[in-house]
Amino acid sequence: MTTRQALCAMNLTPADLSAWRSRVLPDDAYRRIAQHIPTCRACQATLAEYADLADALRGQQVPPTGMPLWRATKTKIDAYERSHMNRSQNYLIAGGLGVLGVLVLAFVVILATSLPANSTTAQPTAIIQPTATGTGHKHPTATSVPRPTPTAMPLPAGWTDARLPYAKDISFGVSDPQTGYVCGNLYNGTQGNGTQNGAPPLELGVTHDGGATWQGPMTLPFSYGDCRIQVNPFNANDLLIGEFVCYGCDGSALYPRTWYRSLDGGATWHLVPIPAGVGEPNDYLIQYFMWGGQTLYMQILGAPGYIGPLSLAHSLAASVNGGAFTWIDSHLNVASLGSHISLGLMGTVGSTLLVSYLDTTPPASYGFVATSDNGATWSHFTAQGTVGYRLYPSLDGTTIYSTNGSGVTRSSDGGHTWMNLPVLPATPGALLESAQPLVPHLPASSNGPVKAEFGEAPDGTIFLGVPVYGSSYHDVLYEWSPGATQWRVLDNHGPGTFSAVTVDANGHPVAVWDTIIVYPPTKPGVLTPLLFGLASHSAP
Amino acid sequence: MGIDWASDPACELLAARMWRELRLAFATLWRAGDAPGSGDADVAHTRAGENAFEAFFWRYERQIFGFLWRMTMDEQSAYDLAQEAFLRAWQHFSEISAFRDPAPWLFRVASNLALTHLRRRAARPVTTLSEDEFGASDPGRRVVERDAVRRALLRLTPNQRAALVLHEVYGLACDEVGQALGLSRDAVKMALFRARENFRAAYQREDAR
Repeated sequence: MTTRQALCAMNLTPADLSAWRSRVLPDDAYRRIAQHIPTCRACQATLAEYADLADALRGQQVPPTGMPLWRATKTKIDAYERSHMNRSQNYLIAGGLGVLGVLVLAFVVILATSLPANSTTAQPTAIIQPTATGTGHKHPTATSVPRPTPTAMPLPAGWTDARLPYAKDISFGVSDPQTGYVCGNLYNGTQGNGTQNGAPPLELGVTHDGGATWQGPMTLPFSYGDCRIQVNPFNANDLLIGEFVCYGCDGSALYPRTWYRSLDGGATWHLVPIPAGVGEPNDYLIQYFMWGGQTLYMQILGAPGYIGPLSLAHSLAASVNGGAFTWIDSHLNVASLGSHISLGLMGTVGSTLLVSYLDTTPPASYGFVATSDNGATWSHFTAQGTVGYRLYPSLDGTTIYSTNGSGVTRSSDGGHTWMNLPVLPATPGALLESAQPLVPHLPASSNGPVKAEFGEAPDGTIFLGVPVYGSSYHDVLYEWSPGATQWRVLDNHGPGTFSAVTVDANGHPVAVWDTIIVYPPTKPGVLTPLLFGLASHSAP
Repeated sequence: MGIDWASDPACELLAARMWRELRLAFATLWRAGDAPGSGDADVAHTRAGENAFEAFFWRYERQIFGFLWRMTMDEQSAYDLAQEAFLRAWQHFSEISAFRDPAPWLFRVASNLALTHLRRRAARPVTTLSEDEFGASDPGRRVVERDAVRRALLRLTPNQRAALVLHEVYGLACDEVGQALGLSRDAVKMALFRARENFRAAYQREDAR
């Protein structure tokens, strides 16, 4: 921590600066101080102290909790519910007694009124008051509901079951497209949501022949309920696995926990360090990661209350290839972007990092901020063309794709101008709505990655999985080849969430990989998709 | 001899009240028998609610536990209080699940629990609020005894500590901190300033040890 020395020419006190840091000053005072700070060493020193203080607090290593805390909480809830139910039973008895009392009273009244006219008439005050009528406050109970045994849906024509029932994510190398990895764990159909986390352990499968045969599964030395895997495009033995807390394990609610890296093709693993000063690792949600050039970017969600992933606090991570993680401050004041900010995926175009956002202040529009110096400076611009906020960078870093109301659009100039690819054929129920960008099938509660929805082969072929809701949920898998005037529907009964493309040595796609829906309907007409198992479809 | 229901106001009133009693009684019976899980629809409802709450738990458990741990400086206490906080969330889940951001509500509950816990601990006879008392049940205590941050946090009043942690670690805006702690905006501003200054001074002392 630094020491205060110089005096402030503006006579600002630490109390003023504390208030400035906490944003509790009126706008004009806030702006005046903001303009003054870059010129004042004394103020900078004080603010640096406050920033160090915050870093130190966030850097504390909080003891682990996880499943033990959940189990203890659930036990407590169960006890509460039992007592709640007992009360309900008491009310039932009381209610019964009330009915009995009313009947007895009615009998007495009838008798009384049947007496001669000079007899005493029953007074209304003698009526017994209503008994308790229950709390009327109903909670979902913690009762465990047994799940039916999972069974795989019949595969559509052209698809081959890869017989990897534990697989939940797949990634192939770019430098060595024959090498690929799957990760996941086996859901045996009897586990509750919580027990998916912790047991059984995550598994890893490896292929060196483009997915024709798979080695493994190897049990990984860590275990939450779900995973995401990414292979370094420059080194197929270098891979990262993101471990997710899995609730339901259907991909609808995945909360990232930790990241592991292997430099030897999955034989050994080490925890990706998140250095002190950026908060508790588990409090920061790593939403998505990708390789762009030699730099690995991660999107980190701030703690609750932060306006978005990129705040003035440390929230954007970059690492040079080699794993020496250096955390950078994004220096991006997201509050300046607008009132309702929806930060999308980050993408890289060359050395430029783009962040798209939705400013819902009327008229709603999409904008971009970009940095070419790892967040030191950012430029703001509005895209020319209709673009959604989800960005998908191309493998070579020269193009960035996005999805909009009619399909896919792309930019080759860092996001300034966008050109639509041919419009997708109309698909009833498809989540390609004109009023909003394509919303991949991720419920609002999900923070999971969406990379599975979009894929690009090195030869430029693009695959797009579009979720469709109707009488059942399924994917329509589209393919577009460079120069083509329309999309080709590879499959309109797609099993699950489009995952990966296998390519040959020339970069041409030879197979696409998709997940199998294995969970039977929980109620008529509703399928619960589980990212569970893989199928491949040979490209023609 | 019969009763003239129509012409006797007393009988009319009596009949109306009897009918109301019967309706209430049957309503009671109906509600009591309407326990969750009693039918297919309820099973689905129960499961949906259970799943939603579990997702809610996993979304916030690290933040709530981390906050309580920083407040109490004791792992076991934080563990117990976190359970209590989530139980209360369960009890009000139908309301808070409709919130756009339930975190401030949850932090408010956790803050109240932590402050009450600290007040009770401070009010215990013989012992006083001392550094040694904190972390007594923490197995890793010896490791963290040298934790300057932890010791510096102990120098803050519970309100200052809560304000600082909620604001700097968990990103609550000052207004939200105020709601969580029952303080005005100015009081939060002052608490944050004092917390920063006290923490800074204590941290520098600890650092120099």
